[in-house]
Amino acid sequence: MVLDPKTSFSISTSSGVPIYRQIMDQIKIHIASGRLKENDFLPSVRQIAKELEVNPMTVSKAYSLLETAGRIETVRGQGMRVRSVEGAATPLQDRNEQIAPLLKEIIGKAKQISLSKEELIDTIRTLWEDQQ
Amino acid sequence: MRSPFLKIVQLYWQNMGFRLLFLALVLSAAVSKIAYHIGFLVYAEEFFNLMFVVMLWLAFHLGIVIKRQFAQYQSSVFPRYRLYHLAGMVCVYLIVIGLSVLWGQGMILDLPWLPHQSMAGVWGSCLLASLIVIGVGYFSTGRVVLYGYCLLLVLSAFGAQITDIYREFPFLVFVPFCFWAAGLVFFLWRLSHLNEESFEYPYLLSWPPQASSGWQGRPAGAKDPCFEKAVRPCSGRKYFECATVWCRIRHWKNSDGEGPKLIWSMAWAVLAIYVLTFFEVSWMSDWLKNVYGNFLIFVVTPLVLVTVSYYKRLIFWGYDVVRPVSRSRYMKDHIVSVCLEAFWYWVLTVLVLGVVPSLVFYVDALAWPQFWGFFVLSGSLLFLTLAVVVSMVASESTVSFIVNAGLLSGIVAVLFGVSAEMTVQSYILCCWACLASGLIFIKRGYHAWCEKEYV
Amino acid sequence: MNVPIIECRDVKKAFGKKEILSGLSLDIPKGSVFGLLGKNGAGKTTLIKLLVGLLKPDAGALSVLGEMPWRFSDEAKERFGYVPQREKLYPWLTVRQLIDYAGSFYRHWNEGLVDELVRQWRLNNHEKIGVLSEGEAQKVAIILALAHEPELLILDEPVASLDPLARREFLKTILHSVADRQCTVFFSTHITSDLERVADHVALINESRVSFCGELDDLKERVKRIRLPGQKLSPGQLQMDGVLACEETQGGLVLTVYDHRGEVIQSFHNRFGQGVQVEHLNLEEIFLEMSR
Repeated sequence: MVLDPKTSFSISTSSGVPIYRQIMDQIKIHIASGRLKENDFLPSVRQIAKELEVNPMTVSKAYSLLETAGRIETVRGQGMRVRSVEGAATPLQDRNEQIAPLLKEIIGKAKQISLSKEELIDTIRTLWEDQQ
Repeated sequence: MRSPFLKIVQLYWQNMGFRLLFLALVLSAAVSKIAYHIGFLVYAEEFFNLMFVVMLWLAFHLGIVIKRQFAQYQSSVFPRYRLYHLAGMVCVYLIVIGLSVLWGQGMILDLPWLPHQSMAGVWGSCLLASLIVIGVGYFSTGRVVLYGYCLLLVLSAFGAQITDIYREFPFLVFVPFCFWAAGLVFFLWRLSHLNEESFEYPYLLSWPPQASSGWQGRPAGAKDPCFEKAVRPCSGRKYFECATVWCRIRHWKNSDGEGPKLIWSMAWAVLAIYVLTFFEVSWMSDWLKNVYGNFLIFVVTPLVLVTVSYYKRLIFWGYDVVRPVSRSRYMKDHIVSVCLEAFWYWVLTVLVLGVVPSLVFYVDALAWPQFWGFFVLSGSLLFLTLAVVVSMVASESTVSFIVNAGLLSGIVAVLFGVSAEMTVQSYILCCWACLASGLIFIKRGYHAWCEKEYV
Repeated sequence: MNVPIIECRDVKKAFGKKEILSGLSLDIPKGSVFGLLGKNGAGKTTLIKLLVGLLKPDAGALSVLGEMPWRFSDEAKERFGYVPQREKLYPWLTVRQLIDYAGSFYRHWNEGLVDELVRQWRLNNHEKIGVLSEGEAQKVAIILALAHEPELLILDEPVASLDPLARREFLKTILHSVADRQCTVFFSTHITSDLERVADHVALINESRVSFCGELDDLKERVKRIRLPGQKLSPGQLQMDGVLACEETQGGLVLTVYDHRGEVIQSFHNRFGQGVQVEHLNLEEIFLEMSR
């Protein structure tokens, strides 16, 4: 098992986001960041449910939705495996998808306080350099 | 600001039981006094007896209302709580005493054989008795009530003898007054210091069961009589393995606590009566010899014993009903169990207080069919009373409760009056009537219990 | 297709003149962990007592494990476990005596599970029930319901008296039962964070009726908060379909919407373009909004 369920996943029950969504997002992040490589096996439903103390049905819902989206596949007798990235969205597209909601919020806020596009990009550039 | 003192007196008035008893007291006192002044002395005496009984119940109830006021956290946390409540309690007590004094005014109680001091002595004894009954209500655990009941039963038979004592030894008149005053002061002192560490606190909360819901029984060294009894260990056999109803009844008894031991407390009272009779202490021997005068004892004693031991189970009925036992079987088991236990207590009572004394004092009586007819009648009346009680507790309609209770009291009163002098045929007839109506009530009660909701 | 293990159709129950439930309908699928949410006095305990056979419905149809609860057979009673809200257990029995006594009525009684739970929850076998604290008494009641490994667990505010650690342990035990044995769990609670963690279905009782019954995730998808910065309140907006609440704040408008098919949010996007901010709500906030 490449991924340790105890340290790789964390969920918040009081955020509005449904738990299955949070699990799905985190798996996607792991795939995008390379922690989960092609043909790696994911922890079993019961293992994750036990560690996170959530309903196993929630975890299996996350898995089946990922399977439908083509990101993972079932291997009989062995569990769920990360699919080859061929038929799936490219990593870049994926990562852009991740960041889009946050960016939308930032843009909305910027418009609220009457910050122009150029000013915003400048601010981002400055902060990016500061953080290096 | 409305005086808290008035609110406390209102507290007594708002307690339905207290209100009804108080009104009954006023009514019976009034009727008795009016009857006396008009000249119907017989009615005056009847209503005086009623007034006396009501007074006893009122005192008992007063004890319960008092403990509810003091055995709770508010008495230690609210400011001046105890002061106002003690004042209110003394006030209510004095009102009730004042009522009886008022009743006594203008009544010619100076009978030639009853000198003034004796009357004062009787007053003193009554006051002392009232304090004792309040105390019994205050504690009101099973055993205390039973002992109190036995004591009063024994004492009530010897009213005449007590007045004799006061006539012979006039200085004894002050004794009950002194005891009463001391007892009252002690009681007031105790109430003003009552807290969860007092030794009597667990007794105050042990009944009714709702009272103990907030208390955990953990204060240092506090013991609750309810918790002390050993319970017979579960035999390990499953309920559904029981084939006969006896076996099932024994199974339900696995969860019993204190119940069966109560009867041994009664045994002490009986032993005392026997000892006194044996030593020919003058007034005692009459009581035991006159078996025919004790008809009510044979009906009421088993009933009281059975009620006390099954009352607890009734509280946990809702808990048991969810177990994999159908309601009809549960009800059948318990109705049979109640009837059996009542029968067993009745046999014991008849043997101990009826047959054995007759064996000792008047053996010939045992050959009379009337003798046995008398006892069998008491048994069938007991069955009828039990059946009515079972049926009444199931239904929740107040009207049917009052109607049934009234009818039953009427029947008992009539039978009590004639029980000593019936022919054998009338005994047999009455027994059959009682048994048949008892069966009808039991069936009604069984159906009512099966359909009863647990709210 | 999941056959519901509990079915209620138009159930009515009144106590005297006070109507507690008026035409309540509910379906609880087999194998689900079903949570019941409602205000105090909404009728949760009454509904549960109806399901367990302690009360009889005035009207409507109830079916639990295929039978009418008021007339449960012994076999049906063996298949479910019930934990009441605040029941007095026999105070003079010890913990062990009470457990043995309860166990004597069930054909199947897992002694190993009982010992395990007693050990895990640090109960003393020889302590009298009457001296236990509320939380410990609640734990004993829960053990009694779990020990015969029922198909259906019905719990009335089971964790109300438990501290957070005991609550977590209890929820873990529930999840074990669900995972191992396909047990259905139905419980009422106030603690929404527990529900969010373990429940997959939820029902909200409001004004004696069910205002939502279905998957928890669906509920969370449908109820959303919309922020419209810079907008002012206008009467027309309040009448829009699906809007549960509308509030004017410093920054603009804040609305809560119930969006069954995504249409409501779409119409907001159409109307207000990029200025629409959509937020998820957690169960507590959803419950508050839907109980207004």
